[in-house]
This record gives sequence, structure tokens and C-alpha cells, in this order.
Amino acid sequence: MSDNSNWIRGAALPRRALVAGIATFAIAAPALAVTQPWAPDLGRPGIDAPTTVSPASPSETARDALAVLRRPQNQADRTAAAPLLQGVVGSQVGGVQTAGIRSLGNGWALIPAETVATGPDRLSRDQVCFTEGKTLTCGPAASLRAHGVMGSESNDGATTYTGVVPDGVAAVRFVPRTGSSRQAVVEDNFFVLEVNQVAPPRMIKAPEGYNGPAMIPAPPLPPAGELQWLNADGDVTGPTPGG
Amino acid sequence: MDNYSGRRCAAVVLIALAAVLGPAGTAMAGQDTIVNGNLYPWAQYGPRHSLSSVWTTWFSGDLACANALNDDGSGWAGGSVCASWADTNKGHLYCACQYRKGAGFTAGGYGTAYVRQFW
Repeated sequence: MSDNSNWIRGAALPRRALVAGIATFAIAAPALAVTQPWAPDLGRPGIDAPTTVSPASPSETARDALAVLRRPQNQADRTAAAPLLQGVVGSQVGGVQTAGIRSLGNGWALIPAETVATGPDRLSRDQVCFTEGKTLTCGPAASLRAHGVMGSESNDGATTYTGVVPDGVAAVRFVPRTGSSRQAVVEDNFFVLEVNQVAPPRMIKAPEGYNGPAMIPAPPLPPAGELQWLNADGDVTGPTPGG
Repeated sequence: MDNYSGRRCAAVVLIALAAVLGPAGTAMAGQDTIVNGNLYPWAQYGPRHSLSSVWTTWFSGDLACANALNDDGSGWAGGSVCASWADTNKGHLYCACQYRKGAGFTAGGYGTAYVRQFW
């Protein structure tokens, strides 16, 4: 009887190597840099004009401030970011630098762009934006080191601060005027900080023609307090006060 | 006019109307300004539309925020999105399926901002 077991063992090695190779590729491929052009769906069909895109890389100013922009874009960036971009960017943003789009993890994406409308006939240039598919926050790259790009959303009883911060910021802390501080870790130059507070409720005038009382509760707003940047040693390093 | 001519005429009219109006969604699209300048502590409202989003640009002062008010008395449509510091812009999407007024306001004090609504 021929010794088939040797033959089988011999074939098993390449087969195992093949399986291992496929598995390695499957794990590593999303992390590999992608170089072919990418044209994600950015518009808001039926609402406004298609968002323009730019083949340019993010500005040197933006790349100098943000390590997440200095690493190559990979397939995981595109796969995670694509569904977040549909219908959210719109005509307020122009020249989206698709090669600079990065996944920030946890369902957020970074979107560098050449312009954002800041007035009826006014544009702010060299912008860095971020989105989770429902809100879009943008600010100029020129002020990233001093202020980052930060915004907030307040719902019933809670405020979520989100922002892009420069290299060296390891954590962000909100110190409310009353109550205890909350802190969040920065990853990929980005943070999400949940604070279980809103500003005290107040009544405001309802608009004319409103189908309800003349005075209504104001919408929830962020609580009074200070947002601080912390370095790896826990020292407060920013943001620079003022605008 | 026989039935055939009548149907052909109606079809031509429908095609011409479609060409003039464009896709239904596009024909509804538009935007207007809620406030461009001083924001006061109380809300300033835009006209009533089926809003798709609101946007705010902060210029100075306290936070500049935007929200949308359901016109049927059921209150605010979602969270208040606030922009601050260095020309930050913040937009918020809505479903564009319900009549709402866009609103701009500050978190308490004086502020200047450009707040607009889209439908």
C-alpha cells in the first residue's frame, strides 16, 4: 500500500498556507493603504445641488495638527465612512477632499473640505468636518491647534460634546459650574464626551401661528461650564480661550 | 378631438409639466435665513417648511444653537446643536417629512451667528 498519508500531509501544508494567507489578507487588507480614486455618495438628492469633491490632499496645516490625517487612508476608512456621508454633507460644504476622509471609530468620520458656507455670500476655507450621519460639524484647519473643531448637541437631560483636537491632547474634561467633572479619552484626534446635564429650563416665546401656548419651554441647551484639553500627564493644555 | 388625440395631448402636457417642474424633490428644495447677525436669548424662528436640516455658524459671544420646532404643538423636533469658537459650523438633519420652523438661539447670553434652514 502506498503511503498516501505523506502525500496528504504534503498537500496539507500548502492548503494550510493558503488558508493562513487568506486569513492574513482578510485581516490586513482593511488596514492597507488604498490609492485608487474614491467617489462616495455625498449629496442630498432632491434637497440641494451635488456636493463638489476635490482630488487634493488635506492641507499641510490640517496634516500638521492631526496625526489621523498623516496616516494613509485604508479600506476600513472607506467602508466605515461611506454610509455616514450620504445625505449629510450637502451644499454648505464644497471641495470635499475624499482622499482625506478617515473613520474615527464608533460610527464617526472625519471629512476635510476646501470650503464651508459661513454666510449668504461668504466661505470659510480649509475646513475640517466630522459627522456621525446625522449632524455635521466643521471648522477651519487654521485654528485646530488653538481651538480644535468642537460642537455639542443637547437632548433631554444630557449634552454630548464632540470634537477634533490636535496632537498631544490625550483626554477632554468638562468641568460644569455645578456638579462633578466628566472626562473622555481622545482617540484618532477625536472625542465624544457625554455629560448628564443641560442648562436649567426656561420659557421662551412661541412663534406666531404656533398651534400651542404663547410661551413654551426652550429646547435643551448645554450646561454652563468649561471644556478642557488634557495632555498625557493630565495637565490642562487648552483650548485657547476666546474665538 | 378623438380619444387618441386627447390622450396624446394629455401626455404631452404631462411631459411638459414634468420638464418644467423637474423631479418632485428638487422642486421643493430651498433654504432661507433664520438670523444673520445678532442672536438674542430667546429663539428667533424661520418660516414654516418641511425642513430637511438646520445649520448654524458661530461668530462671537455665547454659543450659537439651532433646532426645529414642530408646528403642531408637539415641541422641538430633536436635539439643539450648538457651534462655538472660530467660525465653527454645525448642521443637523431632519426627515423633511413634517412641517417645522427652524429656530436659532444662544445658550443664554448675547451672540452673533448665521442660522439657516433647508427643506
